[in-house]
Amino acid sequence: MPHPEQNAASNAVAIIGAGPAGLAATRELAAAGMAIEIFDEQPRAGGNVGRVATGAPPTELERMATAQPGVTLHSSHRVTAIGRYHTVESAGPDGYEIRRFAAILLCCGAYDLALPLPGVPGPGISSAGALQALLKGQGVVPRGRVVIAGSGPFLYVAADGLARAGVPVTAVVDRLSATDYARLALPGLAVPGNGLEFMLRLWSLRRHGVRILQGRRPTSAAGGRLQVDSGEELPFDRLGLSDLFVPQSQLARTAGCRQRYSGDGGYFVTETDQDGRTSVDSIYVCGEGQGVRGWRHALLSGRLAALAALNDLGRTPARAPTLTLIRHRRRLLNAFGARLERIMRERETPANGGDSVVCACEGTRLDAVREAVDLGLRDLSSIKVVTRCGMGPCQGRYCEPVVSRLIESGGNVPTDPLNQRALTRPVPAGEFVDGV
Amino acid sequence: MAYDAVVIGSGIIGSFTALSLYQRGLNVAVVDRGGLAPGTSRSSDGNLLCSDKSGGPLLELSRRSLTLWDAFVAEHGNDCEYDPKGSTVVARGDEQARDLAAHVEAHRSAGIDCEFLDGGWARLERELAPEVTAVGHWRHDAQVQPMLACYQIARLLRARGVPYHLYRDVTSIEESDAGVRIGLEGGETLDCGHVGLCTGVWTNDLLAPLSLSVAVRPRKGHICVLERGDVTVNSKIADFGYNATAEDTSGDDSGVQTAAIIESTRSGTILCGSSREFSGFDRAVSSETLRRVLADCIEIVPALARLRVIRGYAGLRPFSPDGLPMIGPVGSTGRLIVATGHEGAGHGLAPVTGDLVARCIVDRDTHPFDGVLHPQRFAS
Repeated sequence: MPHPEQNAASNAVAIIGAGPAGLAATRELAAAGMAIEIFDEQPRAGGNVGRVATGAPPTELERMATAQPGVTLHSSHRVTAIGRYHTVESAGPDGYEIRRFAAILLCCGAYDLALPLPGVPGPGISSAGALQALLKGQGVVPRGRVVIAGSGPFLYVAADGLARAGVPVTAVVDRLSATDYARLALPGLAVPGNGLEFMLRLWSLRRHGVRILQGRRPTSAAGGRLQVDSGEELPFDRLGLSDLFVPQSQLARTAGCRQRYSGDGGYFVTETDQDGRTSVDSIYVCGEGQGVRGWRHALLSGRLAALAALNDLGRTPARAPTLTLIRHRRRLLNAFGARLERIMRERETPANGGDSVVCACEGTRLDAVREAVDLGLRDLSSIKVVTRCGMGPCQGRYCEPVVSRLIESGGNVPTDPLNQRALTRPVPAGEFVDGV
Repeated sequence: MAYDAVVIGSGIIGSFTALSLYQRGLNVAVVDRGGLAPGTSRSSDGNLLCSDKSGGPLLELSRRSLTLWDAFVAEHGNDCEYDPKGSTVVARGDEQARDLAAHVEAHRSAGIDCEFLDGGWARLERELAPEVTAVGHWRHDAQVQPMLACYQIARLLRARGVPYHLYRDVTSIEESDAGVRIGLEGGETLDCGHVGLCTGVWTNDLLAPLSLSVAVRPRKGHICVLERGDVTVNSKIADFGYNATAEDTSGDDSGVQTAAIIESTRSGTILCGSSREFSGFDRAVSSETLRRVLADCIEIVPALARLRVIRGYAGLRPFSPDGLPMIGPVGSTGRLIVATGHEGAGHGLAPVTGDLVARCIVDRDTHPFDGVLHPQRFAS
């Protein structure tokens, strides 16, 4: 078997992720006549925002893949690493594959997580994003009383989706207060759609009889009851928590793209120029990978990254874009998203309870991480190797932001993210070695 | 003089060196340019083996060092997953079985507790492939989680007032009759009597400005990690072919050698090694190499194919041209002591190395271990 790194480069562009950023990039590249291969982990294209159930009519990307010979969609493919020489490694129905591309656009989105809380992990508790994904992708309707708690506008999106599906959502508990949302009004003028959506959701939730507690934070989720700092107790059968969103930057790390710590979001993010070029040639990051900014930003940044790739490959876009205008609109959305993140960070509370679980995969507790921080460790990999925090199958997706916060509370800025080792997703060993 | 000795490098060699010096009553500080043990120790499995040594000084050092590991755990507690679980070396085919029998016999005559089995090994390991024709079993070989060992020593020394200057690059080393002055990134200096250079494959970065060098070369290795599951691996399981690659000192840089070595960890994950190649200081992981490594391991323990791969990593072993570590003074003042060149045996040899460095510094023994480890033995 020839070494894949010696294979001739394909002329195609690989797009990893079939959400809004991937869609916008595909539109632009397809219009310019490029061959495009889209890899997506899910059975249906759409990403988190555009997720559809198995039987739903084709999404826009799926229709493009059917109608246009240059557009290939590899659904149900887990991309596990971006190798040197622009190789995409994927595990899918056809086995483990390593293939080269002319350029790679990483449109991997973001995921939500909860900060440590006594009682978590526990029965009936998951991320709010997971509840939403189950409902949208598989039509799974949770039974019993549902409480959604955490921070920011996504809580209302998740709760509203569930309420509309007939789920008895009893309450939304949001760390942000009405005043916090008022502080977003001015930068929000640049994104009128966001504000309107938010109002409609609130109205819809009230109509469904959902209580909305703003400016309140959960203090414990033990024993099927969510304790709120107001002293109230909210019993639940299912609890969806969401305190922050974090970019999926694992693949960019396997590619060696430089990362920086974003104090706004409290996570590591890939360094890019305004169009999405990373520190590695021919690798672009767009959408939430540039910092969590929402789907409207993802559409613009996906388009900009596609235009940058065309330019770098010496190709001409279908029609001359008004780059300045797109960049300007992207900057406005970026500023709004950063402002929201800063407000959400202000409302975070320091993790308490030394035996709260930081790393669910390995069961690492808060105290163990604090001890490592006290020794002076301030890079994520050092803390991982001495506490096991981040060594499990999730590869630190869930604990890295929490550990970053503990490093910050020790008076330091996290210096380096977890060293992302190959295989960002587990692959059956038998499948991995097939063909060796 | 602020310190009797400063140890540069907080990996397994630096950790045991600092511990040895502290226990000999010296006033010690540790410096590392990364976090704790950011180099080779961080990307290793934790083999403490006699089974892969053919004989000579390396076997003797390994045996002594295993005793010191026992003593370390007895004195300070076992916070490093130290486990004298034994190792099982497997042969396939009659010829390899005969060679393995001879290898076991040689070790037995050297007084190592091991046995050769041409059947009935299911009581040791029950997942071995049907192609296995014989096994050798070393009862006292052990395993450790290297990072936890470095961490245990760091906490222990810190609690006794030994400073750890982490994330501080060494910018200069100045020797004089009075002592050594170490310049740190940010402008601070540390004055000391001696320096222990425990910087593995990166040792020449520090020696070059002093117009000194040692013959160490980075030899890259890959490890593939499998998720915990229902496959039982009791001891360290190694292909007999592993010994040949571990002791290969030809310096052949034409490709990647692989040989299977398998171990389970305390947390239940299974580590699959190994590969050996010379490709400079590049630590990037190659999936192609990981696949070869894992395929080799599945040949010996087929049940591994049922588990999931959760990650792979690569590190750089400090290769020495004659297969022996380099431990002793470099330069003219006798104040700089290097300890490197342990190849894949650094964890096993760390306690004895720390002891030898302490002899160089405290006892002014310039040729420890009869000089066969002298760092400048290759110069002439």
